[in-house]
Order: sequence, then C-alpha cells, then structure tokens
Amino acid sequence: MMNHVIKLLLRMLTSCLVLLTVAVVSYWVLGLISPQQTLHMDLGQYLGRLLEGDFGRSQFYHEPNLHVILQKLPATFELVLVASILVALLVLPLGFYTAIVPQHKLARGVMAFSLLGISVPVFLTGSLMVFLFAVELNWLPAFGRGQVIRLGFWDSGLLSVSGWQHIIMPAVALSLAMLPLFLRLLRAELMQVMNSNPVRFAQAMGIAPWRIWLSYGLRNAILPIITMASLQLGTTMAYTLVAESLFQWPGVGTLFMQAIVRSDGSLVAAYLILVSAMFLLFSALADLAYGLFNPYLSPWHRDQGVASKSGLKAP
Amino acid sequence: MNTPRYHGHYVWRRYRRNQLWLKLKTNKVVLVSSIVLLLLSILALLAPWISPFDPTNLQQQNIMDAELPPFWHGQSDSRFVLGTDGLGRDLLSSILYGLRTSLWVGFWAVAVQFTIGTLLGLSSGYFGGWIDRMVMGMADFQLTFSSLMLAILVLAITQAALGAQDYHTWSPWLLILVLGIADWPQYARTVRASVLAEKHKDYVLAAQVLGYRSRHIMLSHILPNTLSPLLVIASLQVAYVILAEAALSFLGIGMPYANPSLGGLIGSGFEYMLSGLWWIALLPGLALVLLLLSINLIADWLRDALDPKNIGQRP
Repeated sequence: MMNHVIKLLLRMLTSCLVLLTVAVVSYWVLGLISPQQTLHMDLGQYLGRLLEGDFGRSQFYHEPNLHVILQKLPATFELVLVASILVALLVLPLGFYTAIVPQHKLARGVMAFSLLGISVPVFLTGSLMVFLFAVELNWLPAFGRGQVIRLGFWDSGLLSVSGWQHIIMPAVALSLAMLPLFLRLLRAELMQVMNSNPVRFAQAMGIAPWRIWLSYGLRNAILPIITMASLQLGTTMAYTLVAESLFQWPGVGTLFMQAIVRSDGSLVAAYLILVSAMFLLFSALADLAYGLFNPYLSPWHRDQGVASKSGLKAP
Repeated sequence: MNTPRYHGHYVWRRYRRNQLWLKLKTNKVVLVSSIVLLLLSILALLAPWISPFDPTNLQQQNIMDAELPPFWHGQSDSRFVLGTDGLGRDLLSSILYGLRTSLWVGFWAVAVQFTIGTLLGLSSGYFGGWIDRMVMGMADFQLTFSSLMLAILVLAITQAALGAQDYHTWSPWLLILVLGIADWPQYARTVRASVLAEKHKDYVLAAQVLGYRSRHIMLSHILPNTLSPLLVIASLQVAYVILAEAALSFLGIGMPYANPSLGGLIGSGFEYMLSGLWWIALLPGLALVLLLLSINLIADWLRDALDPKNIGQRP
C-alpha cells in the first residue's frame, strides 16, 4: 500500500512539473506571438494568474480564454466519443474474427483493408466521403455541427437529428484512421493467446469456445490494448485536429488553428496549457484502467507478493 | 596462377542467392509494391526533367487554363494530361514535384531520427548506469507525446510568431527537424535492447581487450549486429513521416504554397471539391496512397523476413 502512495505522489509531482514547464513555454509563446501582452507582465505574474484560474482574455473574442475553450470543448469531446465507440464496436468482432479464422478469405480481406487504412490519411478519407456523400449523393451535410441543444453548460449535438447527420462523416473518418492500429494489435495478441498452453488445455477440457475467447483471449489482450490507447492519445488528438479542420467542426482544434491564423497569442497560450492538462489527465485515467484490468497491479489486490513470484496471468 | 575471384560477378551472385532476395521473388504483392515504389522514386527524382511544366515558375501559369479536367473528360486540354488546379497549374507536374517533396522530407527526417535514436540507444545500452537511466527516462517521456501533435503545435506557433511569409522560407527545414527530433525513442529502445544482448559476447570482450575505444566498438562492432530491426523501424517511419508531412501541409503549416506537396495539393483541392472538381484533390491523394501503401507493404514484409524466428525457413 505504501508503495502505491509513493507512486501516486511521484506521478502527481511529475505532472505538476510538466505543467509548470508547459506554463513557462506558453508564456514564451505568448511573448513570441503577441509581444505587447507580455510587456507589463513578467513570468511570475503570469504564473500567479494561472494559479488563480485566470487564463487571460482572447484578443479576438474579447472574452476570457477559459470560457472560449470550454464552449468549444463539448464538440470535440462528442466527436472523439462517437469515433471511439465506433472503433470499439468494429474492432472487437473484427479482431476476434480475423484471429480465429486467420486463413479465411474474408479475414484476409479485412487485414488487407486494414493495411490500406494505415496508408490512407484521415484527411483523404474525409475528402472522399465529402465528395461522395455530400457533393454527389447529397445525403449528408459537408461541414458544421448542425443543431445543438443546450444542457446547462454543455452544448450537445447528439440530441437532434441534424446533429447526428453532421457527426456521422467526421466520426467515421476519424474512426477509420484509428481502427487499423487497434485491429492489428488485437489480432496479434489474440492469436498469441490462442496458441498458448493454457488455452490448449482449456480446449482439451471441453470448455465452450466463446468462454475461452472471452475469459482467456480478451482478458489477456485488453492490457496491451489499453497501453496502446494511452500511447496513441496524442496521435488521436492530432487526427482529431485534422478531421475538425477538414469538416469545419466547431471544436477545440479548429479554434486553435483559427487562433494561429488570427495571431491570437493569449488564446494559443491558454490552449497549450489546457490541452497538456487534459492530456495528463487522460493518460492518468488510462493508467488507472490498466490497474483495474490487471488485478496484480491494482492497489486493492491482497496477495501481491505471491502473484508476482509465480508470474501467472490466471484467467 | 589461380587467384581467388572476389570480383564483381561473385558479389552479384551472392546477392542473387541472398535469402532476402529469394523471399522477395516469391512474394508477388511485395514484388509489385517494390516495383511501384521504385517507379515512383524514379519519377520523383527525374521530376524537374520529365514534368511538362514547372509548378514553381509563375510565368508558366495562366489563370485561363484553370480547372481543366483530366484527359478522359470531353473538355480536357491536350497540354494538361491530368488537368489543372484552381490556379491553372498542371496537375501532373505538381504531383511529380509533390512526390519529390514527400520522399525528400521522408528521407531526411528519418535520417535525423535514425542518427539521434541510434547514437542515444548505443550509448545508453553500452555505458549503462546514469546515462542509461536518463536516456530511457527521456524516451519514455517523449513516447507519450505524439510526434504529429508536437509537430502541429511547434510549426503552427512558429508560423504565428514569424508570419506566413517568413515562415515559409524556413518551413521545409523546420519540418524535417521537428519530425526528425520528435521520433527518436523507438530507435533508441530497440538499439538498447540489442546492445544489452550483444555487449557481453566474446567479440565485444575481445575488442575491449585489444584496447579499442568505446566509440569504435559501439559503431563498428556492435552496431552492424543490431541493424536489421532498425531497418524495419526506419522503413515504417518513412511512411509515417510522409503521412505527417502531408497532414501538416494539408493544415497549411507544412510546405510553402509555392512548393508543391501532396498534402498541400489535397488541401487546396478540397475547396474545389465542393463544386464537383474532384480531381484536384483526389489525384494527388491517389499518388500519396500508392506511395504510402507500397512503403507499408514492403516494411511489413521486411519485418517478417528479417525476424530471426523466420530466418531458417525456406521461402
């Protein structure tokens, strides 16, 4: 238990250090982009204001930066959420299918398609979809977010038909960009587990195949998937930014690119700090999830010594 | 007198009988993709001599030629085989020059990554101790940030600070530098693992006893034995860097407008797509996909072919 407390403290300390570095860098960026803003404010004052929660005012919107960014956050969050749900819904059946019958023609087709998916950048799939479904067939809107419904501080586009029509193309483009990576990883892990001795033993005992797949396969494959997800967090952010600027999605990424074009230094600096904070938060959440799925790393597990000595990953 | 014949044809025969070459000959998909890659590289290298127009030369641009369709359309112009973009530039020439840019950035950025990663990994594994801990700590830290996101942030902020005009005189070099520096940890980790496996072997001890300098032992004794996994990483990274360059140019923060790049062409063509002129974006996109797919297929095959587990097998 003591070990975990120390680990947690260390983690918080490094997070604070990273944030401090980012804050110093963003002060420097602010001075680079809009020098007049740093004339009457030295680094100490800037950091002090950040601690009070004052991220400055945007020169373009004439509003507090925090307010501007928080207004755009729901759009990005919903886009990433829908895309991740799509990835999860597609990757599990496809991963199991291609791992269980790897030589089947359809499974090979899926893997070939995933190799193609790695080679097609998100903005190209997006452009192609816009051309097909918005320009030629006129089924879906090409840009924007559609009608949003206000729930307190959260502007949701997921409660109206037009919101769903608008989110389909960006979310599908984003999920197609993320899918191949996870599909290949899940397939490789599952195939490795399926060829291991415990699984052969379970098969010999006559345990139902679906139970073997779920309780041996998925359970052992989920940890590398979580590691991968936490490593791909930054790439997901980058792809989201590209998809947002392609579909003119009114999210944080578009806000950042517009702030760059408008030389809105104070908004860029605030974006840097908030995005790094979010990044740290999400990678901490991924670590927590890792502990949750791996019982031997979880702080609530009792027989830690025994398990680490035997080195088993029991189903 | 019979002298041993270590001449040209002997070396050539050795290459012909090399396992790698034999495996390549039997794998049709990889053979085709290496031919495609070779063709694309030759086209890119010869672009200044074989392309019908010079896209960087404003004198050859005529706005009256703008938005002409490719040759299979009725209203095409015989001078412009693949049509023209919105400014009247020949699309074929732009694509050839764009391929050249992509390959150029891919090659140099990977060269920078390779050098930094290999040197750090070698010294980390060979010397151990605090150097090892420091380098691997830095690698873990760097690995959580995505190089694409880092490149977007750095390049966008530099652009906002310098202004678009000044920025674009430096952007090709900055692009290579950022993409090159941001992605070293994979190389360093792989080299370190191989060095740890190699450094207690007899040939290294022999070299140490003979009194060679550490630098010499690392570079000419250990490094050659760690090259094959590095080759796989480098070939995958070429594809990733080309994709990243395309994404950055698509966002308008990569290559300058005057210097055609595939991503930039897709980005500028996307505006015309909404009015039905699909070829301006999709033809460069097709070239990009061909390039990336062939590199990815070769890299994928190389990983299997160079894997020590598969080396004894007949092709």
